[in-house]
Amino acid sequence: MSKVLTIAAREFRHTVLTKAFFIGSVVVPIALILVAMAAEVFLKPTIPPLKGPIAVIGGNAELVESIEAALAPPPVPDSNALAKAVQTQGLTDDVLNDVVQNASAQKMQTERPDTSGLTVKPVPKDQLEKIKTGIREGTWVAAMAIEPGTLKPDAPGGGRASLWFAPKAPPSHMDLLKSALRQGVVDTRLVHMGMSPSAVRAAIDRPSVSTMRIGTKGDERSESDLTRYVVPIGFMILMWMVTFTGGNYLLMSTIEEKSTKVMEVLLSAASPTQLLTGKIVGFAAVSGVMLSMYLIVAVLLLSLFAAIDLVSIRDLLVAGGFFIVAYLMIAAIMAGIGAAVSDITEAQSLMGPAMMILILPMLLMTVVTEAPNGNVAVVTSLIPPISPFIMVLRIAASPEPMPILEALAMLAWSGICAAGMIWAAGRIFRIGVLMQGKPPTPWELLKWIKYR
Amino acid sequence: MPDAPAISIQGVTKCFGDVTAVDNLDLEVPQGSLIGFLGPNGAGKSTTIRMIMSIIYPDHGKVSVLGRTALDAKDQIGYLPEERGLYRRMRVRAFLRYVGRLKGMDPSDADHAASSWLELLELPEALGRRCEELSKGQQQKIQFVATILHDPKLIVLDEPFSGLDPINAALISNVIERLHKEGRTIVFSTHVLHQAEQLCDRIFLINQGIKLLDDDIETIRSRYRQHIVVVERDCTGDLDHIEGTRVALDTDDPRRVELHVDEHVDLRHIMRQAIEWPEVKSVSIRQPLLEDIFGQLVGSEAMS
Repeated sequence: MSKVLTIAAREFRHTVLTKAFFIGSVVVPIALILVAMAAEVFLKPTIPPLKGPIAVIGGNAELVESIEAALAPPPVPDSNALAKAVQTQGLTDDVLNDVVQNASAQKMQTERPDTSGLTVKPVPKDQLEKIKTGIREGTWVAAMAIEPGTLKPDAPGGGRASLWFAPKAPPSHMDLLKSALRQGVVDTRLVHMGMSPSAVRAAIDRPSVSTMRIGTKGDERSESDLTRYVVPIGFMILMWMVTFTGGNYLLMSTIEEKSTKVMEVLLSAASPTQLLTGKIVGFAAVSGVMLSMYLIVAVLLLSLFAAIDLVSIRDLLVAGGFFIVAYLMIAAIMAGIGAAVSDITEAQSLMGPAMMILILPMLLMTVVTEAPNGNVAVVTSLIPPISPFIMVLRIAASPEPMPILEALAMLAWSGICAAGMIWAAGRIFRIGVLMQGKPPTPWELLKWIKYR
Repeated sequence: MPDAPAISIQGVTKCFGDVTAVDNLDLEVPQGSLIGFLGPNGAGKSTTIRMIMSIIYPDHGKVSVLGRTALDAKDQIGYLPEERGLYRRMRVRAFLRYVGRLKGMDPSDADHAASSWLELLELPEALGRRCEELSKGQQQKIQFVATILHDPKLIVLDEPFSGLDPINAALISNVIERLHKEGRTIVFSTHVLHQAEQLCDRIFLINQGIKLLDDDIETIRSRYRQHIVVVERDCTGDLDHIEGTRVALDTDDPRRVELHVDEHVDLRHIMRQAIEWPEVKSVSIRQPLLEDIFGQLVGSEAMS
């Protein structure tokens, strides 16, 4: 056991204490957190205010009024009143709705320019060139010209209008003015038709729909694209990435020991089984460090977006079990390949067939998340070495929590498969580490497994 | 088990596919001996050593080392493989400590032993350097230290002098002799016969997986006592055959001829006939070397 731990400790130290690992597994996740936090703090839009007169050419008084209304800052509900409502009434659906609208209005305010200093003035058409000069010089903010007939409800093609603005005007100013002009034209038409624009807007406002899945026991669980796709796929990709990186380290280490001929020195001190076990344990610890770093990032990001409750502790524990099994399977494949070849070029030729199988979870992601209990998902979750990846997808994407017994049975099955793969890798490892020269064919590898 | 042989190999056979690398081998190496494993390339030396080291296992037969199974005795064996290897990026101190720990040493004992041995091998400054920064000869010394660091009872050296200059070869040779005098059993594999002749007190000769010789060196010499008549001439050219001899021409000097005299043939008669050859400068007798004995057993071309 002490030899296994000695080998594991060396592999861990000599991988983790390298610049490449530090950058890839520590600096990158920390940088992700810092970037996310910095974006929240520093990348809030700082939009300059819109201040000064806007000329409206070719319109009428209703149009000017409508444009003014469209450019007015949106009303913000009284936060104090909302807080009082929460205290007195509790977080009822109505109060919650007000809170959401308040937050939405505040967000809109931060994302649109301050328009309190704007004025909208009707101007004769012959003044347009003079106003354009004024826009260049900064005495006018913008000019809006309406083509004749545009204000009629049956204007062909919706009518036409033009907008001129200052050379250095930011895109947000242009977007707001364009939107206000279009809304002003529509509101003017509605007024001409004897309708109230606000009433029409309210009538055509589409309701928001919360999706709730009813469980077999009558419980309800809200569902969104985030829970349905992003979390399962994100977790599976993380698991794939980490187990592959750990397995790749194992492959490179084995190839290095073979190519530098240090393997025979090691085998004079430890048995092939001890050597292989030590390597697997060492790089499992390396993968564990990487997974921890990325999980910390994931938890912080989910917390940042208030979505941490999307992940259940039970699912995380089961997924952790599948992570270990997935690592063991990948490690077995990589150890077998590393022992069979003499350099990385030869390894690539054997990696090809292995990768064709291991890429399957990526290709099946959508199918499995769409139907986590469908035939494809169930069958592929039984096939090693992709079974742990598919199982993680199934567990995370399942609309109802997978029965714990089913999850544990699948974990046990994957564990048995992993043990078989490690045994086969051990047989290949024992023969392969002393072999030099032409790499074996897959058929020869099978013969090595049977070899005494 | 103090009285158990250092190595006991009984009826061992090892095949790789259709090739029989070692065929029904029996060998017993007494403790404290310095035995030379000799044989041409591909004879089965390295396969036998790997089975002693339990790196590979026999198809048939039994190997025991120091009275235990080869696997159990690993920590009591020091092994310098023919193909040397170091972790290029690792520092020498870390490498030796790692090997020492794998052999069951405490890190501090491993550090202490590494310093002492490197001092003795005139390489104390290497401890803090990366392995890749060392010359080939220096790397070989580090590997030799890794072999003996844990004070093993059995030391297996596969071609220990290859790649060493004469001064460093002599340094290593002195250490091997010292370890032998201290009572360690040393297995020394080589196909350079004069090195084995200088160092070993026992010889094991194998060819095509079959044991040809296994005895102490003096017994072998007495058993294969054969006179060699050396004839030096001023000319080259064909010579009349002398009954009861085998002619060996010196490839470096075609004017020098060696006559390997068969057993029970009168040496004086042979010498008289040799003197009759044209332009003979001198005729002398020399004792057979291991090379001559092995040439006789294996074929001189196979041993070269």
